[in-house]
Amino acid sequence: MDKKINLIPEELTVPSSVVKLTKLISKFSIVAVISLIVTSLVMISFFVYFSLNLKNLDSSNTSLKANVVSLEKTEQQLILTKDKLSKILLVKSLESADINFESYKEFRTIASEFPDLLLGESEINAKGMEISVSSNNTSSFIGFLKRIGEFNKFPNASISSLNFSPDKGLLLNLTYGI
Amino acid sequence: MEYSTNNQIKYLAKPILMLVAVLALLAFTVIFGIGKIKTLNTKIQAAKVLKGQLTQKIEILQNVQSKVEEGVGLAGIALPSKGSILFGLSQIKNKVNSLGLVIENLKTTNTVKEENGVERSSISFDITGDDTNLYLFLDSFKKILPLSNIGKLSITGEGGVSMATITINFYSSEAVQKIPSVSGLVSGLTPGELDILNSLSSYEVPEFGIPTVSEFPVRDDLFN
Repeated sequence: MDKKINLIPEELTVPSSVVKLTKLISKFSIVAVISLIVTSLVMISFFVYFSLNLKNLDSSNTSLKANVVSLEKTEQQLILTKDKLSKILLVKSLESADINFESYKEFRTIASEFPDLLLGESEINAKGMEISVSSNNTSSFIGFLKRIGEFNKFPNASISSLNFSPDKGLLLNLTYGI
Repeated sequence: MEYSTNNQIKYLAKPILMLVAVLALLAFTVIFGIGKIKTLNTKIQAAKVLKGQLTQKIEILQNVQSKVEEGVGLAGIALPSKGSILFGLSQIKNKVNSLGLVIENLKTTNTVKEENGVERSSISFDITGDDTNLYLFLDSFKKILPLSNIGKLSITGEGGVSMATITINFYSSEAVQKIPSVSGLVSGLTPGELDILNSLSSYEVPEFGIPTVSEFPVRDDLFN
């Protein structure tokens, strides 16, 4: 049987509890060193991987930017076209007498159904129109008045004047939309 | 006599210091490493976004290339940067000649600013002629370039001959001066815009001096 022989004087002998603690700390240190090495390797790997990834993306973006620059003329044309088209839409939405002129043509078609009716001066603008009609034939004139009741292109219509003269007959001024 | 406390501390100091140093190094590696990786990851995400934007932009530009080559000219004629009144006069003159109408008292007005950089110039005149042709003349402004409309109209007629006093508006607009940076986003032509372009192609262009686009916008940021 082995026997421990301690030749060191008792006051110089390290207590066993301290020796155990030292061994435990040493073991922790070894684990920490291994962790440090592993962590460092992992970090370096990630760093290299991410750096390469970024480098690839950067070079890919540089080539894409060169592509965009080579398409600069198309881009200029696209921007110009889109800008002009948005303004063309605006121009098309601006008030004009065009729509009222279309309505006037319909009015004129109705008036042409009455051969005795004379269409006088007509003013057409963006807001509406003012039309003067005259006729020597009273029955034709009344027929016309009934017929234009169907002409509902404007939210409001009014008779601005109704006159009679022996040579021109009945003279009616109509106002639409104004 | 027992081993003194001081000696015990001295005995433990070396392994403890080593452990603390290793742990500190480990903490530093983790914090520094994660920081660096986070920075790289942020850059990668930004580069990916940029790549997506650039790819999309190239795709859009390649898709619209043929359409805008034709469209830019047409849109430029429809709404010239300047001189719309000259093109308008040319159109009026051609129409009057072809329809056998007589034009008098022709006047042009100063340019008036509308919304969004659009300017309006007007031409007023008296016109006389056959009813049918005069109405054809008035209808023609719906389908000619530069874009125009009837500002106001006073018309009277008798015996198949009509006389009208007309104000025709023509429009112009300065070209856009800047385009986005290389990585700046652009959008393609919307179906609505394509419809306008298609409808414009059926319009009558002015016979003299079909305008060419010479004022291309420059890039907003030359370094990007």
